[in-house]
Amino acid sequence: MSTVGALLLGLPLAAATLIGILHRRLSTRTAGTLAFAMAATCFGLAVAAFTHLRGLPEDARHVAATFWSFLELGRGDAALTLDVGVWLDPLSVTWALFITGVGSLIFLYSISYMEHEAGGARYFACLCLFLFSMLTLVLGKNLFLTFLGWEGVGLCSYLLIGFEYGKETAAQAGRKAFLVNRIGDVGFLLGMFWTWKLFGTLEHGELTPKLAAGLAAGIALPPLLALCYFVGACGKSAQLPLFVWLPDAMAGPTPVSALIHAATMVTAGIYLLCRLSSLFVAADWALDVVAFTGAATALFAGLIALRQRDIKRVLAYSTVSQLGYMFLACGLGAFASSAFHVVTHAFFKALLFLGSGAVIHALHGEQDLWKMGGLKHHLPKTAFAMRIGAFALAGIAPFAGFFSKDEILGVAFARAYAGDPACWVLWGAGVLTAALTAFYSARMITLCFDGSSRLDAHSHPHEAPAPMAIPLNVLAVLSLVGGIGLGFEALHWLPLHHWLAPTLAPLDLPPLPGALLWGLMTLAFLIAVLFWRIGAKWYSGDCEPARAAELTFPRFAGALAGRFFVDEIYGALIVRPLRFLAALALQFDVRVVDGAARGLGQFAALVGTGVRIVQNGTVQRYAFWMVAGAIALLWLALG
Amino acid sequence: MDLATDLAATAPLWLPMLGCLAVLLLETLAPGRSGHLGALVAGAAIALAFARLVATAPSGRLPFGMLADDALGRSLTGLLLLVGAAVVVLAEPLLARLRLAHGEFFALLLASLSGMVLLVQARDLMALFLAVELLSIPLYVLAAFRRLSAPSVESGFKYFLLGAFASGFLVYGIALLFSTCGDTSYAALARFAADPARLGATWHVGVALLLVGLGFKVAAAPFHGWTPDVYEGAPTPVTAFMAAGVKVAAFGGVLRLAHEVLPDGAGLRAGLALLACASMLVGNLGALLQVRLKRLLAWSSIAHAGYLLLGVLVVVAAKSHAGATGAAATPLADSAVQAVVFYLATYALTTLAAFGWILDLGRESAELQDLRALRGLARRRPWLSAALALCFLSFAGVPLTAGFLGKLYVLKAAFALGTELIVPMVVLAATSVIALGYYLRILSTLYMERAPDENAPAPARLGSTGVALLIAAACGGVLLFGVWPEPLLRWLGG
Amino acid sequence: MSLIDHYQAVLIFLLVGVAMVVSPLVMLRLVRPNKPIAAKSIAYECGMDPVGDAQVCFDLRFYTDALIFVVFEVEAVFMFPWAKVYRAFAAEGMSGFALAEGAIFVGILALGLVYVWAKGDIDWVKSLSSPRGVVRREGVVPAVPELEPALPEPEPELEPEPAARPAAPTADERHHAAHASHH
Repeated sequence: MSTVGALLLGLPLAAATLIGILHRRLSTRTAGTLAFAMAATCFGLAVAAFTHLRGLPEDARHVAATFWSFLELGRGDAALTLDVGVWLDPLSVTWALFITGVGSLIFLYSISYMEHEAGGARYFACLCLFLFSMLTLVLGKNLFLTFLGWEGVGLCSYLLIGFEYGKETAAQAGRKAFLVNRIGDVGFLLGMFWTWKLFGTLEHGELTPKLAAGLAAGIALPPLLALCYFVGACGKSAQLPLFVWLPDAMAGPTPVSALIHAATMVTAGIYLLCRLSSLFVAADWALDVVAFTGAATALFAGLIALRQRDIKRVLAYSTVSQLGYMFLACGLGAFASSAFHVVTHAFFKALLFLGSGAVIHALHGEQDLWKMGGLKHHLPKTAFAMRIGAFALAGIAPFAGFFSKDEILGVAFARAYAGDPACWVLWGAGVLTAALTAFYSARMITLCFDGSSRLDAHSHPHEAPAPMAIPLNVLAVLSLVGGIGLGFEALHWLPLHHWLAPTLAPLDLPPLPGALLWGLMTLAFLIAVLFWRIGAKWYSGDCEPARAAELTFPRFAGALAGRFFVDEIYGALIVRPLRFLAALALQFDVRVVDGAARGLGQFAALVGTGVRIVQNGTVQRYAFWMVAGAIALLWLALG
Repeated sequence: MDLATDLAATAPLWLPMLGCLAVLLLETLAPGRSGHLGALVAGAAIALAFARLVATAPSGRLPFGMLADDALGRSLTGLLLLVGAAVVVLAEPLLARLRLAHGEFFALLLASLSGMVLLVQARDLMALFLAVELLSIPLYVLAAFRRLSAPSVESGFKYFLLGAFASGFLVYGIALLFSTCGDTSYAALARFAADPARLGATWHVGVALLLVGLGFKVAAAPFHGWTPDVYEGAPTPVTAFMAAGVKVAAFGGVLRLAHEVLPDGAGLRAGLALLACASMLVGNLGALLQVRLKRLLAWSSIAHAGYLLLGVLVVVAAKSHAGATGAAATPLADSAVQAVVFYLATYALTTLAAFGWILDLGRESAELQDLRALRGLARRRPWLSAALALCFLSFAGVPLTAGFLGKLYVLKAAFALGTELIVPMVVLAATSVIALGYYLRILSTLYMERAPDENAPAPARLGSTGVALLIAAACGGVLLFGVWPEPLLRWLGG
Repeated sequence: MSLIDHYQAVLIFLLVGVAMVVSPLVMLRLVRPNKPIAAKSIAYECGMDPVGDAQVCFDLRFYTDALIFVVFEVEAVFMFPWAKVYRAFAAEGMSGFALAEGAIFVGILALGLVYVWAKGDIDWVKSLSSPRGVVRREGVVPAVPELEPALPEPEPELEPEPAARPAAPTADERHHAAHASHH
């Protein structure tokens, strides 16, 4: 298995290096084919790891492989050993499976999508590097490697958002993503230091037992420790208040949005929460913070998504909103449900992004929903696939999103039902978000594909070529069966949950009665269908009901369209004061620090000159210094 | 009789010597035509020696009663043989282009290499002295090998004068130690030194003089005066040999003395600390304003001698840390020895890459070896620039390069002793910051400044595949061992 | 025992030595004709007038010859201790080993001698044009067209530091420089 682990990390790195070195000489197609072959092989390897783990007894389903020891510091109890290696367990392999699976589909899709872009090989080099970093994040055998991967995906995200670095918006969006993520990274780092101080290990395999031992010995786990990781997760997974970078990240090429900013990288935060689930469960009120943040983000982003014009922004806010669901699930202690939603979300959100990419591709870069319409006649296959994805997103049975989302709402209800009044709020927020989700999904589909065409007269959209169509079809099938295939709570069919059970903290909640479950499911289904109908109705034709609603609540509508002015508020509250501080710091830097540094530098230069004067080339002088040194040594020896 | 065993165990020592004689014989039989053949014979001798080295395991015996056949000696011997082979690769194309392709170069190289190997295996002061002379005398000639180049001759002459001077100190120190202890073998000296009451002024003075002699060889301040002039004047392959080979060999000798003979004491600690601090300060400050690459590397090599001397100081100080005196090896001292050896390996690797670079693009021309010639080079020679940048990052000890781990292990060994060696440790940290000043200046020259003539064609290279491969391999090693030190550690650990 | 007993061998050695110098002189004084002329009392062995300033131009050929002589003489001294311990080795049954060591030593010395001989360094008149001396011309006569503008020889140097330079080219170098300019 260690070979499989090594190859899973080694192949993407090798491909990234190879394509990176030759990126000027390789054509987009060659580089893309190479990258796709690599990604597909990685998927095969992940499947191999999966079957291997399946063959092991349930309580021994983990394989650790150490390749080498990077650092060994300190002695005894304070020793810190940082090994480079992989840790294969159900959790990491699940992530690896959908990363490489969805990843290879998107790689395939990119070959056509990027064919006419300049620097396609550079794009694929970054994509391979991303795959390497993401797999390091997931498969790394300790938190240190996870952190390295964490930084690596951040770097790749930065590089790919700013792929068209000539465009000012793209470059700025890249910078924004990088800076906001830094805040989260600080949290992660602090958490790592603290964990090591408390438990003396960063190994995934050792953390849970040591934690259990520590708790048994009466150590109080500070909730702040869990919150450190939570801040990290918030940054990477775009939760309130650090979500602002993700919508801007849509400046990157659409397949990148699908892979990094929808399916995989943004779920790294959930992965971290799941990985440290035992720690979060033990950390008192930390989980409540997670749950409320998740619910608030889901609702907030869902609202903003209602009135976005840019199709990719709609999807971006819906991603933030869905990530909020996942956080909500983690906060409720239902880590498996969260992971379930991660997987289904990867399917349908990748599908939606790739579909929107096909639309944008067909319209030669047009992203404004109000300049689309009636596209189902031009792009029937894409429209069909997108519709499936939107149904899954909206939570309409039997599409994938329904099952995972319903399960999360079910857990929230069950908690409230079990006597936690605050969970009624969470459940309410979840249901409301579900309604919003159905509404904006319908709005997006209707505006894009239905009704009459608002296209430019000289635009002739055409269906995407085969390499783009195949991933769409595969993902459409997965969005259809991915939910029911992995879990149907009311029928007690929960293979994913059982598979993940050994690695996650168990959910301490009595199951709801069967009838109640069925009732909730029906309710969720009805709400989704109802709001889908409303959304479709409002935005079909000349959108009369929508306009009327906007006129009734002009300020609210304005706030929605303006994304609640979060960027502006941040600008006023954070960026402007920071600018002021920066200006102050600049003055301080120029006057005080530079002065001191220059003084020091001049001093050093002066000494350097002195040394050079001594070093004047005469042998006698050198010999003199030798004798002087010898005398000093003798004096020390005898003194 | 163990003669055969002894001979077999010391093959890496006498095989280069045999190669040296063979090259001389060739030169006698075919005067003036033995240049390429000499390189071949030298390469073969070194390869044979290396093969013998890796084919056998250290026996722990004392061949001929004067040498060591242990892990330390063997790992350093291996390192030296690799350095020797690299210098052959560097020298062959240069000599051919200078029309200086004489077998003598390789004969001298092999003789000096033989002396180096002897130095790291010596367990007797007589062998030590013989080794120092055997390694030095051919080097004097090698430094002046370009007889018609004034700087080369100047370099050889300076090195010879000061080297002879330093040898005087060395032999005087040996004589004093012999006079006080009546023996020259390390074992006997260690037994003698085990009782501190017996160590009088003669002993201390002897040790101090020994340090002077060896301090000259490792280019420690204040015995460093020759270094910049000699490094600059000597042909670049010879400079590489001095910087990498002599450093490894001389530190190997010092390390064995420190580990096996010298007892811990306030005087010795103060002396070593003085040398270490002076080297770090003088080396780094001297390099700060240098504009010529070879001189800059010379100053930096002085600074590195200082870092390494801190490691030697830890070896000595660790002996009394655990309460054990004399030559009793404590785990602390062992780990410090390993740290120094690792540092030496990474330093040798980086040095070979850097001098290979200077040879490749500097082509023995003062203008081309000037820092100003490197302005904006990254645009026209991206790979070579990256290689040089990597070398200097490794010299500076930036993480993910081998140099970082070298420095880290030495500091780690020092930290293990608590705050006993706080002064040199602080000096190391402070001077490392100063060092960044000139290392990063090179990076900014390469990457941020603009060439005076943007449209000029890319500077020509030496055009030797061997040299290019050597640079690539050494840089690859610097990167590889920076993230994956285990194989190197295991190999050096014996 | 008196001091004389300890050192009688030395004393005898001394006396014999003195006698061996003095007796021929005395004998010659008795038998030779005595016709002093000026030419007979000048120095001839070193070809140089021993009177006057010591800072005169020596012929470099003395230097190489003296060097080679000194090297081999000093090395030969090492044969004496070897001879001294040979008996001890033989007593331990290691005479073959000691003999081999001596043979190797002499062999290396002989190789050195052959080397200088082949190089023509012990010829009094060493011809630069002879095949044996061809190596002396390296770097001066370009046999192959120069490559790129690299490797100038001798190269111009920019010294930012006042490093000491060799005062003037040696006679040997002047000779080669002149030689080069002819070509």
